[in-house]
Amino acid sequence: MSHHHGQSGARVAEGTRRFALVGSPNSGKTTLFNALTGLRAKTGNYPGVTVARYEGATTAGGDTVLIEDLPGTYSLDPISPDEVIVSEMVDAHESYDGRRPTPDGLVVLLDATALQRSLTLLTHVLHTELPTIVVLTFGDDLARRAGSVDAAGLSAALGLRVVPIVAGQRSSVTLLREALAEVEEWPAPAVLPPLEPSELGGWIRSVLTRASYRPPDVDARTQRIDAVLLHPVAGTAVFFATMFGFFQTIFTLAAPLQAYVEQLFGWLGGVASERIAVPWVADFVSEALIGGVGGVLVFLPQIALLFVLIAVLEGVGYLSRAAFLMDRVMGSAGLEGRSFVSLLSSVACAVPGIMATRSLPSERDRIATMMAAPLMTCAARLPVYVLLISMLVPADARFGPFGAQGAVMFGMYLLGAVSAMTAGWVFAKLGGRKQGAIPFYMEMPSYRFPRPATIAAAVWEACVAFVKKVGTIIMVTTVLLWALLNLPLQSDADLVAAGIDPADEVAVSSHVIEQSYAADVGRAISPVFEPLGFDWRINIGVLSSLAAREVFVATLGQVAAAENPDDPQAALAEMTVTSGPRTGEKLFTPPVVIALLVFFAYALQCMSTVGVLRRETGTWRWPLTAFGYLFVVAWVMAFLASRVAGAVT
Amino acid sequence: MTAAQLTAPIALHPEAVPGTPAELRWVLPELELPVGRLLRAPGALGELLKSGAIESAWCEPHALRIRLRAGLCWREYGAVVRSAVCAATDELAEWRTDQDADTTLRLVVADVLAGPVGDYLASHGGGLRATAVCDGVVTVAFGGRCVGCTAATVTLHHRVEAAIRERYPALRRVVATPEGAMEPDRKSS
Amino acid sequence: MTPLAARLQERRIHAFSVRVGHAPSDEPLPGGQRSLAHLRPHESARVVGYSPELPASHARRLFDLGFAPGADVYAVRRAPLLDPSIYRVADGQVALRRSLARHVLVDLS
Repeated sequence: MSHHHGQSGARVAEGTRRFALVGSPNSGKTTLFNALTGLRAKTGNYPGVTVARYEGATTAGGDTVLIEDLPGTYSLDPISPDEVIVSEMVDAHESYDGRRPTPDGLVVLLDATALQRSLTLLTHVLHTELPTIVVLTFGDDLARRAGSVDAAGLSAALGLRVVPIVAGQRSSVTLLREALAEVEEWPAPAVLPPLEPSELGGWIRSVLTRASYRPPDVDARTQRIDAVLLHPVAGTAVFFATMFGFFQTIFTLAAPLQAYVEQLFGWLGGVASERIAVPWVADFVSEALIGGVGGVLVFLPQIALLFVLIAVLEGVGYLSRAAFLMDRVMGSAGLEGRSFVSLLSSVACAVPGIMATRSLPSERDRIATMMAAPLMTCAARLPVYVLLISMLVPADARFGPFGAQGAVMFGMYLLGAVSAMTAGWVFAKLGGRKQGAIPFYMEMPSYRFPRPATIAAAVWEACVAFVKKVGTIIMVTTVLLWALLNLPLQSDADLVAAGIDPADEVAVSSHVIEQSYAADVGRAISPVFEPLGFDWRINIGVLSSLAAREVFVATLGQVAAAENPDDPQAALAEMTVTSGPRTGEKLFTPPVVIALLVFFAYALQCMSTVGVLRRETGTWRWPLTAFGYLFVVAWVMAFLASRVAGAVT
Repeated sequence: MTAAQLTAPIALHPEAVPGTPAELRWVLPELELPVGRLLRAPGALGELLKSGAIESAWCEPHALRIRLRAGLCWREYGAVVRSAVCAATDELAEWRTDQDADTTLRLVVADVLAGPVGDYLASHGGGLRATAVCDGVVTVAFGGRCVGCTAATVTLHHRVEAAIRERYPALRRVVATPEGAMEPDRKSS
Repeated sequence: MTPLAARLQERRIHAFSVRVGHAPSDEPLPGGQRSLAHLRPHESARVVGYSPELPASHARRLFDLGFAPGADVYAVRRAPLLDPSIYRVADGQVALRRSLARHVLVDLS
């Protein structure tokens, strides 16, 4: 009797059978899971840990059954949090207070091209004494490499049912579904295979002989490709070219898509403004709600594209090669090669980068990489950098043969990368050498053609998760900010009393902002930012950018437009300090701009990132830690930068 | 544990015998066992035989069929039997069997006919049974729909022969007679 | 920890002796034993055991990956910065860092 419990999603009747997919990473589990459950996978975390959970439903023999895709593992002798989950899930005697419900049957995937190693995991699984069935995958790959296996012989030798599955072939998946319906009739071996290492090798050899197993030849195709891709010179060149192409694609392809999304939401906002009678409701709907949703969805093309690229590189098998090439460099920061992939993705957006840390077996590495990811220069920082750099450096200035503005931008990217590696190093050190530290090993799978369905499913899952969980946070923050910037409401009487002409829109909006709660907050926190040279207007900008960095540009634009609607850019340049010791001086002096640049390089100003950190770690501890430490570092670095800049200029 | 066991673990795995849950065939693909009912063996295997925990043990060329005493179950004794067999294979020269090759062959044939080959035949409405086993020659008789179908019987003949020979390499030949033909039932001497 | 995990953690992996008649495994292997780290690309060897300094959990994981005593290993290549290296074992390819590979003792003959 299985008890369905989940975080959200359809309620399923008591008594629904539950099956778990068990297998090593790269054994075709995800492909089979998608083939069985379609895109109906519901995700979340296993209670209490940072491990993602995939569960879906399918029909077998007319009934609905639940399928759980357990994390890939090589052994039920666990050394990472992922593997601990698997070992707890198949523990038939305990359900850990219902948080690890035992499946009714286990579907063990054996990679036909690596049968010798796969059988080791099977022996462990058989000792759980749960009903077990074997699925044989990559039979086509085995045949391509001049290997062969007799499924009937394997079945007789194991004492288990064996279902060969060919990826993409629906008939074989149907056979599996029928088998799932007959779980009560699954045979089990009379004697469990040996766990003793000295006896296991003999058992495996004997079983493989009975199965007429002809091992595959070395995968010539993979060898030829690796000869190039992992070649010390050619491989590194291809690697950097791929990374470069990666970014180029993100920026050039995503940018027009993002523009469309912005246009769409701008139009929607406009429609709302016109159609809704009550002005403040119209404002609320168009700016806060539609603006808020638009603010989230504008990221979507970029994130979706990123995920497609990552999913393709992973499906093909290239990501493990990239991690292999970068492992030594990452190792010097106390991390490992797979962290590189996360940090790389973070250059477009930290959200997929943080989600990519799932591939890291070590919890310590996972946390350290997650704490470092927000420091990589993400795309949202670009509009801010562009604005600030233009205020700092004239467009025609040159730095040697390069344009000075471009050089500063490159410098910011470099700063981000170095800071990220340093942060990773620090958190890796803080994570310490916990008992049972994980040895580094990484399988190099054969190159394979990824199935479009698998890519689609991965991208879909990522995008839906992003929009749902993260969107809520952005929505709430945008609404809050909107309220703070527009309240208290100023009636015409109030305006006249303050000496403002209600018909002068520019003066009105300028006044509203000056009198808003946000401005109050901006002035209230000025002690914090005064050493950096910020005034209440910059403070509002910084505060509003906590939701998302680009909001800084918009907020500052709003403030500047209030003063000079025709040329906000000039208004910014000429803005003067209105109170305090620097009254009358220019606001955006080089030290202030540099301080702002450095502040933005470090501070965690992205509720999306906070949201995804919460989701991936399952707790508020890490997002708050990240926010806190990054704020402190940002302040200190900005302070130092402004002092140094002040001394130099 | 002897040194030889450390050097190369013996290839060994158990398989169920269709129809007899108390019996398991312990397959040893890389060894050649002396054929016949096992009377004596060295080490723990010998002890199990003597104590009667193992009711009977038959040596096929590449497998040891072990039947536990009634009341004992494989869940409990599997690991013990495995280690015992492993250890005993180090000293194959010490094994003593009654060298009854024909009975062994009869058991093999019964197994083969009860297995996939038999299932295949039954699904086609046919049948096959062994009528005599003597000196490495197996006589079988076809029944049911197989009677009179020449193409099928030729293929089946080869299949049956191959299946038996896989387990009993010393098989001389399989002779097919039509059902009903009277053959004197020659018992093995 | 689950009962099965506890049982699996009790596994002890004994050395593989290439010479029949060698004494049982609890004796330390002779000094100067070569390890996977000594293997240059395109060289083969057979795993004989693990060095005594290797934590038991690491040894068990190497065993489960296919680097088991008696297994044949082939060094495929090294990374451009010389670490990690890729080894072919049990029909698959696995990358190991030198810090782990040097604990896998091999026989080069």
